[in-house]
Amino acid sequence: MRLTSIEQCFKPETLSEAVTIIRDYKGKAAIVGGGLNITTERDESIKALVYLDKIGLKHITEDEDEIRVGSRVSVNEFINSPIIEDYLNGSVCDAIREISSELLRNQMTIGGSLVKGRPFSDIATMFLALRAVVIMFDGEKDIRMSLDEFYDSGQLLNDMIIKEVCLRKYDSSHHFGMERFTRTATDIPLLNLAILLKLDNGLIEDASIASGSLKSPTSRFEKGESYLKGKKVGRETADDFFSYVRDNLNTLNDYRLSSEYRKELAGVFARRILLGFTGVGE
Amino acid sequence: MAEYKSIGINTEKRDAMSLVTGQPVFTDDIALKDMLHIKMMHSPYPHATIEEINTEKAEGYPGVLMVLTYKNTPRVIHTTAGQGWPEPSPYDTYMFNQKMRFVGDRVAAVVAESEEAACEALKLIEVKYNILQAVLDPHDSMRDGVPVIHDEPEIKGAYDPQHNLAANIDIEIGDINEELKKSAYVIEDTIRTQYVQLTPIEPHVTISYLDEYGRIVIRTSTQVPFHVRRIVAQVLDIPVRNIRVIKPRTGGGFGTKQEIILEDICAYATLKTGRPVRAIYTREEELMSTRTRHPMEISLKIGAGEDGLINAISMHILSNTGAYGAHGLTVASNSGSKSLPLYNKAKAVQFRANIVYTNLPVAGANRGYGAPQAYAALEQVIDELAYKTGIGPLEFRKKNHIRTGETSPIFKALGEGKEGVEQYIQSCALDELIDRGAQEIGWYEKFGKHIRNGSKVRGVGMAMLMQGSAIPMVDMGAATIKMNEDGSFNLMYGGTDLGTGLDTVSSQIVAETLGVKPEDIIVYASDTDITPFDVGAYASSGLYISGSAALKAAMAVRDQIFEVAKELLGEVDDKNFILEDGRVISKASGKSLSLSEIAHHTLYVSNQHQIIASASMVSPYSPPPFAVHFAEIEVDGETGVIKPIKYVAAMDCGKPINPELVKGQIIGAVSEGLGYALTEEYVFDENGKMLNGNLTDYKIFSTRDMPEVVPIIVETYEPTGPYGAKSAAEININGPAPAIANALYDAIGIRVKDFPLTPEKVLREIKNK
Amino acid sequence: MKVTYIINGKKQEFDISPGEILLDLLRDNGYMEVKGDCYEGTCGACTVLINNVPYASCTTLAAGVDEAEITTVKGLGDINNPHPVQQAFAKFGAVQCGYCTPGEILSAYALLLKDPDPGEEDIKRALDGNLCRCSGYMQQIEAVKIAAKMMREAGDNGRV
Ligand SMILES: Cc1cc2nc3c(=O)[nH]c(=O)nc-3n(C[C@H](O)[C@H](O)[C@H](O)COP(=O)(O)OP(=O)(O)OC[C@H]3O[C@@H](n4cnc5c(N)ncnc54)[C@H](O)[C@@H]3O)c2cc1C
Ligand code: FES
Ligand code: FES
Repeated sequence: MRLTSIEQCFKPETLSEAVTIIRDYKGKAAIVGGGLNITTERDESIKALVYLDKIGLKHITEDEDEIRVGSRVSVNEFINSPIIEDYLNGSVCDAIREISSELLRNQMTIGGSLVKGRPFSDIATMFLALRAVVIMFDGEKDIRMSLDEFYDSGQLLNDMIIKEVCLRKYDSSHHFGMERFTRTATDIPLLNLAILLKLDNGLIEDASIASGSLKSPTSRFEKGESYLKGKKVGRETADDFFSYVRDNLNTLNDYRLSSEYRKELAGVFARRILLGFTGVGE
Repeated sequence: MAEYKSIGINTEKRDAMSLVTGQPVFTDDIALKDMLHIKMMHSPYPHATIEEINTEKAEGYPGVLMVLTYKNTPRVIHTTAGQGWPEPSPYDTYMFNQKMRFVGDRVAAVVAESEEAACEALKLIEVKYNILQAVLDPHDSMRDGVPVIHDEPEIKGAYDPQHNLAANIDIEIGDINEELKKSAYVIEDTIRTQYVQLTPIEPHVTISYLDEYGRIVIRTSTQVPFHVRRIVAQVLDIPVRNIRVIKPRTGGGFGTKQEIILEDICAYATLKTGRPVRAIYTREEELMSTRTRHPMEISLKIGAGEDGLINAISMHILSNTGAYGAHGLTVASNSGSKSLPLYNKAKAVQFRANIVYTNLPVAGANRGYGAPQAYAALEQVIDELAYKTGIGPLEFRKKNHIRTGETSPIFKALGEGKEGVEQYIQSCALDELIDRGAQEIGWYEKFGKHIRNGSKVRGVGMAMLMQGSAIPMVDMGAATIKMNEDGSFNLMYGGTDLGTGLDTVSSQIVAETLGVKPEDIIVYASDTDITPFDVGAYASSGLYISGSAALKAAMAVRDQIFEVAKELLGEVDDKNFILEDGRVISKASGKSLSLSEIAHHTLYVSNQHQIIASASMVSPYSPPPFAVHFAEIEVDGETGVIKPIKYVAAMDCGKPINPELVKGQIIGAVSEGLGYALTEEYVFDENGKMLNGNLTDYKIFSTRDMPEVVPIIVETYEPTGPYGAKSAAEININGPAPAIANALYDAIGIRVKDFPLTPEKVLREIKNK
Repeated sequence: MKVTYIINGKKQEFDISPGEILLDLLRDNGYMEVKGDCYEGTCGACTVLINNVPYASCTTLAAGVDEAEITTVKGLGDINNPHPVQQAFAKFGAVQCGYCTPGEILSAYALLLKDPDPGEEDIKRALDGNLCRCSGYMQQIEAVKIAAKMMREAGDNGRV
């Protein structure tokens, strides 16, 4: 059935126009990314929809330092982009190649997936671990902020639009891994965990960890990051980190999975990702 | 064996081309002028009475014609179970009622000009409930002092409603205690199965309208058009003759559509408004408010002698039928009657079942009909016994299974909620099924080997199965065949094709008999005005009953053709003809006529008459198909995740009339069975409200979840079936739960006695070990 | 508001409500070959191609795809001239009740447009959003392989 609360549709030609519209509507207008949340959640307070197709935001470009992903790029477009294919040795592509289903991978956009930072968004977890930077447009200028800052800031979206998301080009000392738990292959993830490490001769110089495990928006697991810094990758660290994650990560308890099981899984995932890095970069 | 032209051939499914090109063949694919729409309001409480209901505001909403509640609809107690008359299910249901018995029970229906208006109006209905204490645990149902769920005086046919007991079964053959005592090896175990539903992708949908004579036409997605006609007539208190039920193509049923869910309300709204009315359930309503598989707790005690022969089997079942008793008795009967005869060496068999009411969703018919639950338990306990005797799973089953020429006292003792019918097995390939399946899965290389890859361990498990082919002496189907002047034939029968391919195999059977091609048979089915009676599609009866009726009608038509040929060719004996390639040929003279010539003659030339015949089929037997399943899995010892790697399903369904369609029945049932084993379950909150009433959280298998499935068809000949065929539709859903559970045991030595085998439960069990 | 699509090669204009869902719009206008069921993107019965990419039409806003080319299963072929994917599905046991079939076929067709010779895993991934309760998928996967071969042999998108 149609979304009965929607009274108006806009197709602005410029981002400034789009920002004006959402400001005028004071939280009652929604930007449409792929529209998956909008059509399934059916929020009756939303009165207007703003489409950005006349503006584009479907690009994936790169320069020396970073890759820029337009907010309207779909997950499948992202995975199939030659620029992303080799990013971090293909580990990013591999991690999300089989999330959800083909139909939804075609529909969900990177921007739309990041906005709410839901724990069941693999994109949010992954981009947090990758320390992505969001470029917002406030009607006049671009504002750069890290995804963490973006989630901390809360209500920004009532008067800004996500234009692009930037991924840093990491050198070969960086390694990325991600694991997720689903009940069936196309299920929403009930737990996901992503880790980016910077290694120097097998020593963990820097770590970035995110897990969609509890609250919305997802946040980084900073305690775990500090725990890993300075340790050597290998069986021992992996085993230690298993216990550390299990004992320290807060996880959701719902009818789908108990929080104990989620904790255990997170530990297993953390260990597996670390073991996957063993022997590389040494 | 005879050379067949149409039997054993992969004839393209007769409706396939229409389906792949998107023809408007389903119930909801027509839009009638001025059609009204129904939306239903459901109870938010598991047990309550409606104290006050105010529909005024809803009725005043623009576009609303009426709001139906218990106050303005006929109060006729009936069962929604689409079974033969008199139904073995209790009469405990009304179209609408003041009493609510589960979250999802019907409160009211809005009839409006649009779906949107109906939905908006639903929000305006004001209900004040008197909330009653609910019974949510089937173990509590029969306890003293527990609320009585069916406390209305009209209830009929329930065993002991005052104790929430919908039905009860108690049979004993031989002396069970004595035989158990004598047994050198005894295994005792209890296994629990969960609430699931087979979720056909097309939901329940009905469109009703008045024809030009004022009769009600019900176009509906059903497995039981004739039962729909009878039950709607009963509920609306109008004569059967005023109702016509048409089943177009159906988007799957699997049992949930062996039930009158929307038809009575739709027809009533049409009667009241005179206008076409459409009702369709959402996925959430499908899961919550239609029919589910009875959750059961199955306690088994099986004893075997030193020689490894089974002496005694005792099976006790606590079956939860939910808020209403539809199919309660018969599903539980089937749990025994479709499993226990497999081990017919037992000298004593005890089968007891309590089928209890709870304030939870309504159980009903679901592919397998009680057998999947029974096998989930039985085949695990048999495995345990096989280990204990030291004989091993394959050899133990080979020693103990039923064979051709043998019988089981269960056939007679346990029927469809009453006594059954004695029968001797006339076709059975179990040994070959075991051997070929074992070879395909690599049993001897893998069993007991615990092949390891990091945290992952492989295991193999198997299960042996049977089912039936229709309900003996109960199920009847009839067919009419008439001949046209181009040598084609119309087959009109009540057989109800849900996508299984029944219309196709029936056309193959008729074509073979009449010496024409399946394409020469024009099939028209399941229209109560035009086609003869048939009980419908359930109990694996399609091919065996409806197909046999078609065969008998075809044989009668063949005789009529011979009679005409005898006259036209001037022969003396009408037994001396054969039908081949569209011609009738005299074996005596070699002379022949085309069927078109015969038809032209009978229709236009002399002694004019229509070549036409009808026949009915009711069977004194219900020959079991047999199957042996093998699963290979990989268990992750760290996460508890079970990944099915390969699945082998070897089946004896007699003569496979269309092997490609049989393959489809096997693989489809296996995929549903794997969901039952691993991922599908209803989750309720503390008030009995289903928490996962959508496909995002009710997890069914996708392409990427399926293991490699290898179907193996071992051909036998069943003398009582059409061209030697037995049923193939249900049996294969029984295997995955026990085969996977046994593979889990083989891999890591644990059993999770609570289905589904979710990673969380498996891991817990691993840690407890 | 007004939207224009090219549906199965034919230009069509509709006056829609701004919150209209594509699936409803199509069915209300007689495209009954597009099925509906879950309305949450999980079953795939409502699959259509939008500019040759498969989408769940039940989660697609009609206004959002203005001016798009929309293909339903009828856009591939008809009873007298079925597309190789349709032929293969019909011939090799890939159709049981047929309710999921239009969606399955469109997902398969979209895959074959991109990849004329997909492997088993590619096919499984391309069809993973189309739930089928009857078939268990094996014969469908087989049918896609056969269709791919037919299309490769015929060249030109499989039209002979
Ligand atoms: C059945 C199902 C299964 C799923 N499974 C998974 C899964 O396994 N893994 C996974 O990662 N995700 C999964 N998702 C997807 C995820 O949860 C979101 O629904 C999806 O990513 C939203 O993307 P969208 O582009 O369609 O968002 P939309 O619905 O278009 O937008 C979402 C929100 O973001 C806002 N928004 C969109 N774009 C912008 C912008 N540029 N600037 C500002 N605000 C914007 C919208 O107004 C809206 O509030 C699943 C979803 C469903 C329905
Ligand atoms: S109806 Fe669209 S995916 Fe189910
Ligand atoms: S054929 Fe019935 S759902 Fe796929």
